[in-house]
Order: sequence, then structure tokens, then C-alpha cells
Amino acid sequence: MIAAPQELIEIGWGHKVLTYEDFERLADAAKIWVYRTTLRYDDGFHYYHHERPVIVLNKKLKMGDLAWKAFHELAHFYKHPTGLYYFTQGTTEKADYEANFISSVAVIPTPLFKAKTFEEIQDEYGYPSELKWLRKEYFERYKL
Amino acid sequence: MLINDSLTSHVVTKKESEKISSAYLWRNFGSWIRSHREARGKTQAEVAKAVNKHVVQISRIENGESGTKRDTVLLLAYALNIDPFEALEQAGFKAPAPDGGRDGYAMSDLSRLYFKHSKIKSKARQKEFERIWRMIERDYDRELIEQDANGEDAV
Repeated sequence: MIAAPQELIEIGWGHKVLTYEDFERLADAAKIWVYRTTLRYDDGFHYYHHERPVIVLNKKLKMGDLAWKAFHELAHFYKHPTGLYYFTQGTTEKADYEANFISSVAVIPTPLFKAKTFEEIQDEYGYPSELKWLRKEYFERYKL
Repeated sequence: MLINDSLTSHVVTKKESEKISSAYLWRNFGSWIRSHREARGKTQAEVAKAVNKHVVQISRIENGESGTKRDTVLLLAYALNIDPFEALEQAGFKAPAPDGGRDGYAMSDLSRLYFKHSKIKSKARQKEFERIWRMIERDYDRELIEQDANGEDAV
């Protein structure tokens, strides 16, 4: 089981839909600088600018897609501090798997996942189709 | 530095001495990188692709025929899974301060970022990271100035 960060659990991770506004409040509390800018090759990334944590998000992202990807980067910040560290290929895959799990459950909590089809959830919240299979896998594996 | 060579009585000037030191450093660093590459079973071509350089450049580095920029040293370190601080020292660069201090460390954030996140290793992508880095650096500088003005400690 992948442990979600305490900061997310305290605001209802796994029980209620976490929004981009929730992300902004958490980023502010953690003194993370958040930028939305044009990105041609990524939807988002995070790094330490000197000692300052930064999350950069593609300004084209909207609604649920934005929230999902924002929480993905935030999950990396909580679980996989960068700063002076770097990843091998394998670690990056594991780290991304964990970040995807945390962010998927953040934006599609278990009660919602059980109550509606993904298409209904997608219509309501604007999540991208790529989230469907990830969320399904995490539910089947972790029952969350 | 002056050295009296007993055979030729040639006095080595400071410039020549620095040149000798650089060549020695390049050769040492080159063999060190080669040994790491071979230990990982990678070819020069594979490393060149990973760091977005030409294979000829990798060959010249390993043969000690040229020096290496700081960012290239870091990219090589990440590609070969070597401690980046050790790589910087081997290449003769000042390593970052233990607390990640600013001096001599600025572009290594970018290099690490580029390597970690780059699926498409292209100059265009690197330029995009550089643009973003400069944008954030301006805000960072602004914050430092404000903190100085307010008499606050750095973040």
C-alpha cells in the first residue's frame, strides 16, 4: 500500500474530491512557488530552484486535468524530495507510480469511483481519459 | 610557478603550468568517466544520446582531449548514475555548498531538471527549461532583495 501524505489525508484525501483550490492552499502552506506557463513538452514538473520548491504547470490544462496534474507534482514534493537528489530510470518509474496513485485518488475518491461510471465523472469534473485506466488499476490493486 | 628542469633548464611559466594542470585534469576526468561508463556496460553512443551530445564529443572527453562544461559534467553524472558532487570534483569544478548554496550551483538545478524530466532530449526542450529557469530566477532575486530590505533571513 502506498501511504498518502498526511497533509492530504487531513483535508479529506480518499473521501472527498480535492480541487485545484485545495492544491493552491497546500502549496501555499508548504511555501511552494507555483507557475502556470506555456509548456510544449510537459504537462508539469517540479524541482528545487536553489532551495525553493517550485511546481510548474502547463497553462493549457483546465479543470479536473489541471487538478490531477497539480496533485501529481505535489505528491512528488511530499514523497520524493528532489533538491540534491536525482533518480535512476527505475526509481523515476516507481516515483511516478506513487504520485499517480496519490493524485488519482485525490481527484476521484473511492466513494465517487464506486458510485458513478468514469464517463459520468469525466463529464462532471473534466478529467482526461488517461486517468480512467490508472484509477481502475489502483482500485483493483489497493481497493481504494 | 617556476620549475627548473634539470635536463633542459627550461623554466615553466605560470601559463604553461596551468596548461599542464588542465591537460592532466582532463585526462584524469576522461579516464574516470570511461571507467564508469564501461562498468555500466554502456557505449559512448548511448551516453552521447542520453546527454544530447555528439559521440565525438564524448570520445574527446574520455580521451582527455577537451575539457567539459559544468552542465555537461552533471549530465554525464546523471546518465551514468554517478554522484554529481564527486563528478564535479573530478572535473575540477567547485562543488556546491552542502546547503545547496547559490554560488556555482545555479545551472546544476537546470541540468538535473533537464535530465530527470526529459523524455525528448532536444535543444528546443532545453531552451524551454532555460526560459522557465530565468523567469523563476527573476522572482527569486526579487524576493532576496525584499528580504534584504526588510532585514529578514533568506528562505
